Amino acid sequence: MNKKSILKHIQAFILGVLLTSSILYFMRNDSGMIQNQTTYLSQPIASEKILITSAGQSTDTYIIKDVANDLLLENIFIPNAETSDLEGVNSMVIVIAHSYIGELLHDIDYEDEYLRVEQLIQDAEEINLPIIGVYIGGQMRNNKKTNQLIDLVFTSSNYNFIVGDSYAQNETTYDVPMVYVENLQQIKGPFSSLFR
Amino acid sequence: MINTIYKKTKYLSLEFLLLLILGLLYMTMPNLLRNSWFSVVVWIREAIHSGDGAKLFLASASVNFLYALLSFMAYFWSLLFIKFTFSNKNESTQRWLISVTYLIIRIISWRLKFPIEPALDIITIFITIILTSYARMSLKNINAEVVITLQIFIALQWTNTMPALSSFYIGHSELPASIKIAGAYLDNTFTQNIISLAFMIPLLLSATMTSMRFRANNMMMTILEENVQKAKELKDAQTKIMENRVYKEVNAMAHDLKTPLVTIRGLNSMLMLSKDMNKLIPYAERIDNAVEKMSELISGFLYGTHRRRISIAELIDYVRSQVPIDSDNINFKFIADNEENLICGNQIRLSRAIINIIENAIIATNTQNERNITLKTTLLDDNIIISIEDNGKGIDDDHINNLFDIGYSGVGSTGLGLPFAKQIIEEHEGTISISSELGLGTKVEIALPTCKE
Repeated sequence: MNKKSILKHIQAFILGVLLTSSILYFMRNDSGMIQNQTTYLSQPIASEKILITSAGQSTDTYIIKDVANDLLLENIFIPNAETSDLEGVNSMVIVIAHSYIGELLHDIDYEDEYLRVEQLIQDAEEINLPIIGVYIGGQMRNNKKTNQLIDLVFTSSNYNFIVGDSYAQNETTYDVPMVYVENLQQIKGPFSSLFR
Repeated sequence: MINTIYKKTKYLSLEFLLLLILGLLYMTMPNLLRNSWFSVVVWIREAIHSGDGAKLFLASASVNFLYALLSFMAYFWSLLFIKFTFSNKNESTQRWLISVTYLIIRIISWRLKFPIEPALDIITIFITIILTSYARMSLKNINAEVVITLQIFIALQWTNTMPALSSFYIGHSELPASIKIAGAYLDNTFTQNIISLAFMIPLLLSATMTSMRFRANNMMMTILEENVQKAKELKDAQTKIMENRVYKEVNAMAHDLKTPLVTIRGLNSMLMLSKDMNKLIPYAERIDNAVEKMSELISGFLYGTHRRRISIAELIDYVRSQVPIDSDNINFKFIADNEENLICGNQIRLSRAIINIIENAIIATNTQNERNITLKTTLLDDNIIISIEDNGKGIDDDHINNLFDIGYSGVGSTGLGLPFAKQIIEEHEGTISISSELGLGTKVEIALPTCKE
C-alpha cells in the first residue's frame, strides 16, 4: 500500500468518525438529563421596581430587559450597577454570562466585574433585597468564568431562573428554588410569575 | 560562492520579513477589529430591542466575515511558512505540515483571547486538505491556493451562526453565541439556519468547482509538460541522427574527393616519368580538370546555394555511385531518356535528395521476395521528371500526407529523409509528390525545371 493510499484511508476514517459521531449525537437520548423545575410559581417572590443588571456584561442582559419591558414590569436597567443603584428598588435581577467583548466595551476586566457583582450581592443582602439569578446562555455560554459567576450569584440569590436546552452546571444543585424553562420563547410567563 | 550565499541570505531575510509582517498583522488584528466587534454587539442589542432580524443578519455577516479573515490569515501564514521552510518536502507532507502549523497558531491565538472555534477550525482544515489535494495543487501556485481556501474559509464560517449546528460545538464563541441566543429570543432560529445555509452551500460548491477546474487545468499542464519533455527528447534524438548523417555525408564526400586526387597523383607520376615534352600540356590540362572537379564538389557540399549546370547523365551517375545497388537481391533500373538535358542545381544536394528517396524504397521493399526499384527520368514540357518507383508494401492513404512531416516515418527510419528531400527540391523550384497503393508499391515523382540558356 503506497503513501497516497494510506493518506486516503486516514481521510476516509476521519470523515467516517465525524459522520458517525454526528449521527449519534443527534440521536442521543435526553431522558437522562436532570431537569430542575418547569413549574410556574403560585405566588410572586419579588416585587417591582426591578433593577436589572449583568454579571459578565453579555448581551443576554438586554434580552431580560426587553422581556421586562414587554411585560410592563417597572424596571431600571443598569448593566454595571453599583451599590448606589440599589436605592429605591424592590428586587434585583442578575443576568449571568461572561462576555470578553462586553467587558472591553464597559472598560472593565473580569476581576473587577466579579468584585462588583460580589459587592452588589452583599449590599442587596444587607437590605434584604430579593435577588433573582438568571442564566439563559445554555451550553454555548458554558465556560470557566461564566461558571464562576453562576456559582457566585446562584448561591446567594433567592430564586434562580434558567433557560436553555442544557444547563451549564446541571450536575450542581443549589439550595435555592429554581425555575427551568425549555426555551427562550417560553420565558415571559414564568418570568412574569416571579413578580405578579 | 559568496554571491550565492549573499543571494540566499537576501531571499531568506525577505521571506522572514514577509512572515514577520504577516505575523505581526495577525497578532494585532483583534485590536484593529475592536470597533467592529463593538459594532456587532451594538447590532445585537438593537436587534433585541427592536425585534429587527435584519440587524441580526448584519451582525452574523460581519462576525462570519471577520472570523473568516482571522482564520484565513492564520492559514496563509502557515502556508507561506511551510512553502519557505519545507520546500523540499513532497506535497502531501507539506499539506499536513500546514494543517499542524495552522492548528498550533489557532491554539496560541485562543490563549491570547482571539475568538476561536476549535471544532470549526478542524473541519475547515480537513476540507481544505481534501479540496486542495483533489485539485493537485502545489505550493508554487499560491494564487490558486488562495482562491480555493478563501472560499472554504468564508463558506464554513457561516456555520458559526447556524443554530442547528450548536450541538456540534460550532458557534460557541462569544459573538456567534450571542447572535444565536438573540435569534432564539426573536424566534429567528429557522431564518438563521436558512440564511447560513444559503451562503455556505453556494460558496462550498464554488470552492469544489474551482478545485475541479484547477484539477483539470493541472492535469492538462502535466500532460503538456510531458509532451514538451518528449518533444525535447525527440529533438535531441533527431539532432544526433542529423549529426550522424552529416558524418556519413562527409565520409561520402571524402570518398568523392579521393577520385580526382588519385587522378592527379597518377598524372603527376606520369609527368615525372615522361620524357616527352609534348605530353606535358595534356597531362597538365587533365590535372586542371581534376582540380576543377574537386573544387566543384567542395563548393557543392559547402554552399547550398552553389548552382551549376548538371546533365541528367552526370546526376544519375553520381547517384548510382552513392547507392549500394549491388547489394542483396535488389533489381535496380536506371532509365534516362534525356541524358543530355541540363538542370541548374547543386549536384551534391540534389543527389542527396534522390538518394534519400531510394534509401526509403530499399527499406520498403525488404519484405518482398523480388525487390524492384526503378529510377526513370523523362522530359515533360520544361520540366525534368525523375520518378523513383518500388514494389514495396505501399503506404496507407491515412499516412501518406504525413510523410513529409519531420520525424514521421512509415518504414521505421528516422523520418528526416523525405522532409530533407522536399526542402532541397523546393529550393530548386521543383515539386515532389508521392503516390502509393497498399501492397503494390510506391512512386515518388520529382519535377525540376530544365536549365534555361
